[in-house]
Amino acid sequence: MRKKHIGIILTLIFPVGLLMTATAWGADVVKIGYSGPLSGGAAKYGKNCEAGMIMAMDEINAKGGITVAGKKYKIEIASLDDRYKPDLTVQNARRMTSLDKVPAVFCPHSGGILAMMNFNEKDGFIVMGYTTHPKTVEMGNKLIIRMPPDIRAYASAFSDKAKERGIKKVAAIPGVHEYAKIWMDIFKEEWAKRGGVLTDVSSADYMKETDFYTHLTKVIAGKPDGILLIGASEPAGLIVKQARELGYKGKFILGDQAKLDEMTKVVSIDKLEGTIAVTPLTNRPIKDAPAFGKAYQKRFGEAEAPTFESASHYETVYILAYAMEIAGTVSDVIKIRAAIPQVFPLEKRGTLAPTGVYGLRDNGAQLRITYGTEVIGGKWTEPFGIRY
Amino acid sequence: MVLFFQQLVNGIMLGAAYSLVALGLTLIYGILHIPNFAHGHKYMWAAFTSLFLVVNFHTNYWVSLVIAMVVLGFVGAGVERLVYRPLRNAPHVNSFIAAIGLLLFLESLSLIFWGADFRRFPTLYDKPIHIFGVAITLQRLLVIVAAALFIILLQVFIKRTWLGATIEAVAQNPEGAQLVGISIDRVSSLTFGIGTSLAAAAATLIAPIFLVYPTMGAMPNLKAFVVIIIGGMGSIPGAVIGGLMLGLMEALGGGYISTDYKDLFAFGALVTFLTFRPTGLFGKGVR
Repeated sequence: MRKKHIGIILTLIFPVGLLMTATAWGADVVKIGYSGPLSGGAAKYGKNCEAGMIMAMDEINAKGGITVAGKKYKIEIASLDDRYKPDLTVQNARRMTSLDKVPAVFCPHSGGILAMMNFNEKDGFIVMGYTTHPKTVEMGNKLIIRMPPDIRAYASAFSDKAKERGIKKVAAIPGVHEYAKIWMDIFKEEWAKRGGVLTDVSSADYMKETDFYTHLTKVIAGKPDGILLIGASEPAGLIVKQARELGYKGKFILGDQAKLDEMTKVVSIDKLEGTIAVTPLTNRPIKDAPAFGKAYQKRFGEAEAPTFESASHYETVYILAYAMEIAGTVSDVIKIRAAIPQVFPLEKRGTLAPTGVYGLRDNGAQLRITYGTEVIGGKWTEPFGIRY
Repeated sequence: MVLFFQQLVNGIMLGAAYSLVALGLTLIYGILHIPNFAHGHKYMWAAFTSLFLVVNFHTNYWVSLVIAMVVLGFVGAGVERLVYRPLRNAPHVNSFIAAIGLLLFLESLSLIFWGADFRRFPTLYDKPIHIFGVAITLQRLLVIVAAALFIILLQVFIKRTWLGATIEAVAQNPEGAQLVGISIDRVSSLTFGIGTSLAAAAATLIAPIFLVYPTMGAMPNLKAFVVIIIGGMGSIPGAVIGGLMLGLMEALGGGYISTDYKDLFAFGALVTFLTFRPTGLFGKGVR
């Protein structure tokens, strides 16, 4: 009896399955890879990046996809979770390049990006890296695109600003991830160049620590007039709050990972007085940022803050799509990479450029002006430009 | 000197938090001999439950603490019934695997259900108090007081009540307990229920100090395991002393040597105890 049932079920399912694959064959699809943290402590960050890509994909497909060498293609984002772990990024990249034939893999963490750069030229895919790690574009890899600015741009601009505001002694609480370590090293150099004193460095795991009192008690004892925090927004906000509880009266300098608008969900703005940080996306004097912010909130809900990483991923999916159209291929990655500089300016193509990206260096670094902001009198000040 | 006392208070707070989490864990281990790796994730679910109540229904903080304890108590009993009871007579490794499976399940479920955002638990008690230059918030004091209170209550419950006595009887001799008419099934459910509602109490008390997010339980869970290994598996006084030792080690070691090595002290203590005194401070020997 049982076997008979299975037989009936199979005969029912088979044609349905056939129909489904047939529709998939109907439209040509080009897949774009994404490997990032979709679970674990950095899941929010990974999902923000993915959201930007999905938004670009939906928009492109709604307009009928892209036209490459006279043929229409729909775009599909193939995303896999790597939990911020480079070894999983490598596995994901291999899987996506061999199964989905992706021309490019996006990744939002330096560990995964550097790991993929060991074999991306050989296996033939472009690494779209979202990292401020300077090394990624200094290794001579021909198939790397780096989205955000360099750490050094921020570290030197913030050091200048701190100096200008009369900060002399800085203590630091960097995270334990690779990005934070490099940020710390570069800040140390830049701060020393300007004759600043570094009183204490007390690293903390921003994602796992239960309490920052121990770290703060230790660094505040050195009487710094500025505390440098390098890590994710919400835990950084919590550190600010706890520092004030412990009676710290000085200023804060924030590594570019921490975003003021996300921090204010955790800590009230009056506690952030004197903070030097990157300008929240929608406060930048960039023409397309507010429009993107609106579209983003329409797509994902009012409660979601449109972030710089979402905007960057959004732009870069468009850049890749246009580059494929210009190059006339969805698989020859050398040609696609060579076509990217011809995509700019995005404005001409009727696409938003919410981070203000306007070009590409030969080494693969995207060009844009970035901005810093201070908190003075319970408000964000006018952004100051950072050139790099 | 102020610095020393500040770190001492930091350490005691941290220790009380660890003890609170370890309490439920040690209870479950002591009676059922299940290494409940998913304890930290039930802790996380409890934090989300009370956060949900406080934010969406504006429930009083203490009322939501009680509701979270009751809800998670039933969840705990349900988990015991569905996951661990069918494995009671299976090889021990099966419940290990089940615990890890449960952990992954709970984390993924919370990602779907609550999302990956960090959330802030609104609290009425985060005004700092300064006593002789040492700063502490009321919420932190609450954690310390509540840890002491729950430890005493649990001890009284086990030693002085009839229901508690059945739990202890099963811990000492399951066959004997069955012979005198104690239902092992009921005691297992009860223990799991109480253990999990203790996690709920811990979560609701600690969450306002930190942030609420799906992986928030992982580190406290790991530290709680260190605590019960130091204190002795299944021992309630052990969970207290172990928690305080660990908290002080981290705060003073971190404060005076380097915070880079803070976890090294914790796990160094774990290795030392496992090598020289595997039964812990109050352990009664490995079965």
